[in-house]
Amino acid sequence: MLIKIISSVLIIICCSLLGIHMSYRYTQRINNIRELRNVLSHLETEIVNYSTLLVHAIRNSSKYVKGDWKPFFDNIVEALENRMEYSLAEVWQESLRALEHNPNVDKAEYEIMQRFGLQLGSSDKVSQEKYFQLIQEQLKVEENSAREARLKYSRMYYNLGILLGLGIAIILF
Amino acid sequence: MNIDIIFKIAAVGILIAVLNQVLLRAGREEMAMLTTLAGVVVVLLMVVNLINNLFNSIKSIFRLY
Repeated sequence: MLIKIISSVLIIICCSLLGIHMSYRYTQRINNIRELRNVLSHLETEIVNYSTLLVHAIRNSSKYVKGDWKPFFDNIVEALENRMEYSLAEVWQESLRALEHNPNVDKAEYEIMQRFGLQLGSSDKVSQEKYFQLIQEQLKVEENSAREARLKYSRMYYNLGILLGLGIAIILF
Repeated sequence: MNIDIIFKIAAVGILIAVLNQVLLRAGREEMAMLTTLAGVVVVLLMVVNLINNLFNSIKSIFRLY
């Protein structure tokens, strides 16, 4: 009897943790988008106002980035600084590929960044500024939709995890 | 006759009801429908032996061989 109770409690705890993990994804996605917007606005300042070299600009702006986008920027800076015979667009696409199946990065941000990578550093200051404004606008829309999704689904996955654990425990009891 | 199975079925029923509400609130009607169906199937699996017993009893009582 005691073993049954202990194993039921274990099943419930594990399923609840699974639910919490699933619902945490939505919070993490919002944080990621916010970090990304910070980095990009910093990058915009570096490029438009200070005319820094692109590698240095990316390195400076991604110094304090947290979350899932950090390896992406680190990878770009490393590849560009070691002069591995890449253009920025190629490095950008290749680094981005590592984030394709990341659960905390949605397809929408992925595609926005993919398109942005082709335009970064390929025109004069005025159009660069316009591209930055465009991407900020797009990311803002994504952030809002991520917030809505969190309101809707975060609580659901949390409850679903606990109820699933209870269900399995009751059926096996 | 084991009385525990009645409590078990009741627990599954309550659970499925709550699950249904959670999914409906999140706007996933088709998932809610699916969980209800899964609940019915699970309870049916639990009682299928008892129903078999019931039919056998009826058969033997009324001599329907």
